[in-house]
Amino acid sequence: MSAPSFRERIIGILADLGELDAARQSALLVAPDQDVEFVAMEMDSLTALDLCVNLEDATNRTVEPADLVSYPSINRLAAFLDAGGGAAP
Amino acid sequence: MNYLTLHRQVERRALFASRHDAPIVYDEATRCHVVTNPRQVLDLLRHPGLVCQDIVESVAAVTRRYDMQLPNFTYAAGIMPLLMEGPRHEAMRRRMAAFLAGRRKAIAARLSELADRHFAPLRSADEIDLAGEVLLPFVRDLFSEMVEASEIIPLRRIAITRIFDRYIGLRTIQTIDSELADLRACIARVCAPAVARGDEDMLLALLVLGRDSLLATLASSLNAILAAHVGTRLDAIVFPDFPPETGVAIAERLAGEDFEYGHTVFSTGDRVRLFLQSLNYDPSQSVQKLIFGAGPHSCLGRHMSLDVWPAVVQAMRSTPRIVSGIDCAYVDNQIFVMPERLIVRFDS
Repeated sequence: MSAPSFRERIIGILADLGELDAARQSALLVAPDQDVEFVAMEMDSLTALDLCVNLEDATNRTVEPADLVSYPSINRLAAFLDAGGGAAP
Repeated sequence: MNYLTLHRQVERRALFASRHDAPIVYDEATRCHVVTNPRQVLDLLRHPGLVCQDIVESVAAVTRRYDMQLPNFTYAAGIMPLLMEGPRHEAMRRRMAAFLAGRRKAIAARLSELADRHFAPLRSADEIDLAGEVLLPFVRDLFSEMVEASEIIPLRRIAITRIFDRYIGLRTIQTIDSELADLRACIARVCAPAVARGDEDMLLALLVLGRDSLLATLASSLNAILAAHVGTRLDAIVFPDFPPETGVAIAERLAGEDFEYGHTVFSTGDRVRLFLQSLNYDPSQSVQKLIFGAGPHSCLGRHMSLDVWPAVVQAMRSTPRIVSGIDCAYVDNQIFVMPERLIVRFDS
């Protein structure tokens, strides 16, 4: 079984944080082109920090709330991480 | 438009130059009112309805949520004048203004020597990191002199001023806490008499906020000037008599009450991102010269910066070499415009 992709990790963490319900999580996982903007989730600042902290733990990358603004959706944040974003220099 | 990083995008220059009457906009991504009109920035800096963000409370929320201790971050957030309000803020400003006035003559006496020494490598290097190899040690030595340190205070490349940045993650918060611990230990060791007088808070604020403000202002100003003069000999450049760019690009405020300004309704708790940097691009020179801010939180280091700038210009102009190229990379900082590298290449 291959390791989850960055996109799958982001979706899993958002579901754990209660920002995606089970149906939405499943729909996103089977349709890679589907995307959700973080703004639409109306996360408060501490939940946004939770997302970053959990992603840092899961990926060993540095992920900051600023990245959620610069890469403002699940797919764009995943693409940022896929491209090596947040890796130690 | 990414209003979180606009202050360090090259496109900002054309944008600010063309939008002196830009309206206040609400940015969904940052959840902030964004103000890029210089006249409105000045008005709102003085507006009693806007207050500083409460970083101490934000740090407390983080420590509770993750069950961790951040004693140095918490301490620093509580003593930075830029984050304080009311009588405590006024008292700290008075102390700091008196301290800076008292040190001005001693710093001025050393400026030429320090500038000559630190800018000397420009005369022989084919390529140099002006930010890291010249300006950082220059500003480090200036501030060591300012706080009457018994030895040079090592200052790291990471901008601890990310303490003012709401968009940092837990790793950065922990790194800043650790670096602040090192800096406090160093202050206790090399500034023992001042610490014994109860001035640790003021020295820490100067070595964090003061140092990064000056470093960022010098680096971004030289970046702007040199980028416009590739192919020109340094001694032929007409340098402005005032730093053309501020390193403190943004002032973030909170609405402390409901009020209306410029056809915008501000509700209590709303966040406001004021682009101080836009003042550099106002057609009026009198507005441009307000890059040190206005209102109760205007920059206390204005006089020092204006003392330092001519020494930097003199050192640059005494280098008869042609700039053949320049590259700049910025630190990921949502408040300051801090070049991480400012590579200047010369014709050999």
